[in-house]
Amino acid sequence: MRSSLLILLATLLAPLPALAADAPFDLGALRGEWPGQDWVILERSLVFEMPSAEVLRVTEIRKAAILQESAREKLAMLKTTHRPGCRELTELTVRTVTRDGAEHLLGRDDLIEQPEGDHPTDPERGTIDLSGPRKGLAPGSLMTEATTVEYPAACYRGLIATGRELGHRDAPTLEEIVEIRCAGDGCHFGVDQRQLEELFQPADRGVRLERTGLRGLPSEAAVPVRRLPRLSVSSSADRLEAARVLAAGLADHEGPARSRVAGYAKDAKAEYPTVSDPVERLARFMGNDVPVFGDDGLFWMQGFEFGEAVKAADRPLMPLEWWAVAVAAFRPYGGIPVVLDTKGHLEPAEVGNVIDYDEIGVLIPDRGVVTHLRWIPMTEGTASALAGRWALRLDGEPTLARFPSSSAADRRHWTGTVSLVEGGFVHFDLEGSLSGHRGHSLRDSYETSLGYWKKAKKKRRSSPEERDRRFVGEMIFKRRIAVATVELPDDPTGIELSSIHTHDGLWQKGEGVRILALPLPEDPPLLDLVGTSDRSSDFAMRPQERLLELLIVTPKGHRLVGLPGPIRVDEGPVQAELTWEEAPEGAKLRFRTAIEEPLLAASLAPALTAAAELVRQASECYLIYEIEE
Amino acid sequence: MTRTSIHPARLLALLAGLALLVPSVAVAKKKKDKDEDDEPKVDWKHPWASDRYFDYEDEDWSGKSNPRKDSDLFYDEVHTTLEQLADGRHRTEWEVVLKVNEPESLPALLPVERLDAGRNTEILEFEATYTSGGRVRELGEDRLLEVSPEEGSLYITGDRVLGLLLPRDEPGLLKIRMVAVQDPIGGTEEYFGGSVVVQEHARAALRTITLKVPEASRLWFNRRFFRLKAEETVEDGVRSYKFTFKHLRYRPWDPGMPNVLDAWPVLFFSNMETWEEIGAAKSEPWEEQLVATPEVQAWADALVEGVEGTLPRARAIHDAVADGWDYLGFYPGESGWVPHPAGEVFDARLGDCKDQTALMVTGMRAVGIDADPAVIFSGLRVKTAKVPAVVTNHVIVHVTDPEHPEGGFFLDSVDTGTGAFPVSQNLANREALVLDPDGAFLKKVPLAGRETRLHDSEVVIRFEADGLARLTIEDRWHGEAANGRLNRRRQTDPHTWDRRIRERLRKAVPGGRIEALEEGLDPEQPDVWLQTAELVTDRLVVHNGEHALINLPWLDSWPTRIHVEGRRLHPREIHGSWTRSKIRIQLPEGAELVHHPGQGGEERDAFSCSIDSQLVDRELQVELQVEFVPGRMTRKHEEVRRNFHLGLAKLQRRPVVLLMPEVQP
Repeated sequence: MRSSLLILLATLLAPLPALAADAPFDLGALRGEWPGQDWVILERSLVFEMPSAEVLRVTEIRKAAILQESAREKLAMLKTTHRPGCRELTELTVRTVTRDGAEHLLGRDDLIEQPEGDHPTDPERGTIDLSGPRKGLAPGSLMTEATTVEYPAACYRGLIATGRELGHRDAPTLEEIVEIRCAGDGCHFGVDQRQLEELFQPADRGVRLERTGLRGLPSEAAVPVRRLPRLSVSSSADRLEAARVLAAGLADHEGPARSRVAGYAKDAKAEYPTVSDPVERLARFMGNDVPVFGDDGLFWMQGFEFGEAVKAADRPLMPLEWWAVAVAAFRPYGGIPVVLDTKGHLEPAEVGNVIDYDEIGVLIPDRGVVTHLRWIPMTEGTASALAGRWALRLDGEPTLARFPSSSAADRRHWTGTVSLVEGGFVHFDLEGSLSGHRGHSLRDSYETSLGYWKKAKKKRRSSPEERDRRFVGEMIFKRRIAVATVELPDDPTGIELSSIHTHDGLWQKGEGVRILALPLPEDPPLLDLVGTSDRSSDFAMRPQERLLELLIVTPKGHRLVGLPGPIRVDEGPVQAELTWEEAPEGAKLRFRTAIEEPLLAASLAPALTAAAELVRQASECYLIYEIEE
Repeated sequence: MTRTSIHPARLLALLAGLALLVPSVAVAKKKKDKDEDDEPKVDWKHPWASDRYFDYEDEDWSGKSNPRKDSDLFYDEVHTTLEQLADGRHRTEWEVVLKVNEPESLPALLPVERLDAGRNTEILEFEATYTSGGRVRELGEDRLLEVSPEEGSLYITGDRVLGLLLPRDEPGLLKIRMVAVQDPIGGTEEYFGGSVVVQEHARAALRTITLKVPEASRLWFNRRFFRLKAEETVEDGVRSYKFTFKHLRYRPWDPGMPNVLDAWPVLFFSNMETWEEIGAAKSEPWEEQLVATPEVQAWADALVEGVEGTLPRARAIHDAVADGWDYLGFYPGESGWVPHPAGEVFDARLGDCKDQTALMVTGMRAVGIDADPAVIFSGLRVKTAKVPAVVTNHVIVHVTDPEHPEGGFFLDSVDTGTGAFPVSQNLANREALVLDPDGAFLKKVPLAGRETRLHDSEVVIRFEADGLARLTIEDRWHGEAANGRLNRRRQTDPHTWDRRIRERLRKAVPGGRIEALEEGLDPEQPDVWLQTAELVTDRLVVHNGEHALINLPWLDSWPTRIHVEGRRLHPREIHGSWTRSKIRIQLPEGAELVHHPGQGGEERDAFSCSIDSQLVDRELQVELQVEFVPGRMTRKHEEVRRNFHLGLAKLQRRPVVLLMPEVQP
């Protein structure tokens, strides 16, 4: 590293006397205390200040001990972002001191700046990705990292709102000190896990929270988005403040945007020629086809900028530009502007908040929600993507509301007959009725293929029957099938299918017995939870209901040897029931699974993993037949 | 090394293709004059695609539609000109006339140039217009955005991509002309070479590729899958080679297809005649970085102390770097072609493939091993061009060893140090350019035998008096398979890794409770990763009347939900693997075996599976073998491949059925 740079970085590190003392740590003791952990945070200091009413400054200093070689793989590349006017990274320094005393410095000027190009009209306002190497990471190294970020009030039209997770996901934090020095008039804070708010103590300046021994998050499957407590700091004590600010912006921009709606409707008609309902067509086009910056959500990245009303095809839109057009488009159909949370499923803290929300959209009553990321049609007032989510509603006086949970969000019903045909082939004659999440996804694919087929039908040699056969074969069963039909019911999330196909290799011969290995049309839910037992996180699930009813016809000359036992799981929001019943023609299987809530408590883990085991067992069922004399 | 070849190759991957501004009326005239066309016809010679795939006017395509009208996008003209200027800089010129019938087929942001931080890319000219409904729109600088290139998250150069925001509102005619210059690649300033893909993403009525060099120079070409003579001219001190194509179909892409440079018609070019020449040029800047500091010397000496033989000594140094240095490529404003000095890499304990190669080679040389860097294309193999057009993305180590049957061997620079020899199939069966300062040369990397890809597992099941089943499991990953497993382990959080290996066991064994689990290098076999486990369960057996059914606890499964492309052109590249799984069940006393998996399976060129079970002294032994042979599978076998996977799943669902003794009351 150049010597001039070293001097510069040494200067930058000067303001960190307390943490730069570099007290040596006992590598062996830390490894013993945190087995399997490759790095730990010895101290974390998080300071919130408001040098003026126009800016919030967050200074974070993190001092970490490297315990294992494997830490380097995770920590070697430093990545952060700078967003002019909204999230201004004013300082960043990283100093690593190895066990033998060698020092490695990284400063703000050493970072490579790469623009994301996510501002369509003013590149200077776009996000800048910053990257740099953290060198000298080895067991025994001490890494001290300091960052200062400023949040100007102008970004959200006067509202200052940001936050930080407490603790760290990947590593234990041995000591964490949070100081909200600005706490008081014009500077408010809240934590989504409310009990933590009470632990803040008055300090010389503002309030302070000091905690020790914070564990990282264990590695677990099906975890919810938010697992660590999130501290929010805001210039407003009103958690509806962001909604008010956005509503004021919409009021200014909805009118000009109205003139663009006809153009969007025309484009929607061209894109979805087979969708006859104009609302459904426009919603699908606005949600799925109009290019919008920020495809990972986070509509607030460049602030509350409504930009201008532009045509869909002119350029990718800023999220709020899109919103103004969408609100104007669906207002005549009772559309209500909404701001959706980040699927955290936790009630937002009692302060003005922005970053706990990630999608903006319009709720079209009884139909669905179109957001800047997608179109979400609803069944019975909800959808898998909406279940249990909090939303700011901007109709009249803003309110905070929550979408209901329901297993109707994804409903699948299969019925059919399984019989043995000549040559040992097993013949399946199935009918499926799907609605909600999976139904919508399949219907969307089918209608897209219909549109494509209609446009290109002159060139295509295949018949509609062949089209349906291929669709059901490739999209559902991933196999060649004999005959299939597809029908679209009135429910915009629904699709109805039928299929006839055969399997070989399932009918097996033994000594005086025959065995049928019965496959299910789809994998049942909960299989991902097989093998998970110890649990500390809640479960993030997709509400759903599935029902499979099959008649397995006993082949002539054979006799069924008993039936597998029944399975029943009833753990509140999770139910599974499998029953076998003998019928004159053979055996009847009824297998129902239902998940009612999107967030299940960690305490349900033993019951859920047991349920998963039973479901797995059911999905691998066999029937045994004896040959009749 | 993450950069491939010279700038044109990268640009062509980015661009939809751009071209000369020629009035569109010329297209109509050209069509009319088709029969009078006396330009030489392209002679397509492709290993699996017939001529009709290259010419949209082939009688199989023509006559039924108007491609200019019916295509979503249609290039009236696309022209690419690459030039080595007299001052050594490289000039790129694109001109395109694109008929847009379906505006949504255009990308919202069209990448038009990569701004190379290490080569001072400069845009000299840029003009773009979009004509629709009689209205001509200038697409000016306000529509140009600089964005980050899609680089690997651990490889950062500071390069940017210049993108053009396109109008996508109505059909029209898009014209773009752009001229850019940039410095030659640092360290190989004299070199001018690379590859240009002939076809574009859409059909093109006229496509030209022009290469220019100063008059005193010349170019050598390798035309892959076509024959066409260049029109060579000399004017104003510039020697020009022009290749003209007409009626080109778009370039077809299929999932899992071979490397596009081995599948699409490509023009390779170079101003150097031999690989030795470019190798020598590349070697020189490398050598400056391969200087052993006292620390590196001491480190290398310590590693080989008491170790005999070239391969073991080279492995000792290779494995130490592989195990102790992590991957990070950080080249702000640098060429990205030359490593950092070996001493710096030693101190930082970080580096990309170039850096780690530099440290390995320096360490090996310090202890007297004849080692050199070797540049190669990693991943889907690319056949070496007949002219020295450098198409590489990786650097590894070559060790010259007269005692080795092939005179030397290769070691990868970014593997894990276990199962590192011979190198994996991602590097095998292709040539590497060895940068020997005494004379660079091409050398083929051999494909290792199937035993280096073996994953071997054995499950022994014993039933205890209380009805519990006890499973003793041993998993062994050999050679490349061990290397891959360790690599995944290294890149995974330790807690997540532990969770995953436990979940794999529990998913295989219903109700399985893990009583012991260990993993590490097999003490009895070098380069083998061993995992052992002990599980107990009371759910392995499902009772159905007097019958007891065991669904065999296979530890591994293969995907069954495989989509089959309806219209595939290209073969599929098969990644090699070999899995051998054994399950041994010691039958409970008094139990009678009434059904077991028996024999079955399928064998094809690209893959095979077999199951075999037999009863030996009241122990049922079941063995399942699954092998995927590295190579290319013909496109006609796609459905066969899916059926193979479905059939394999059915083999795994062959149960064991026992008739249990009656329990005395």
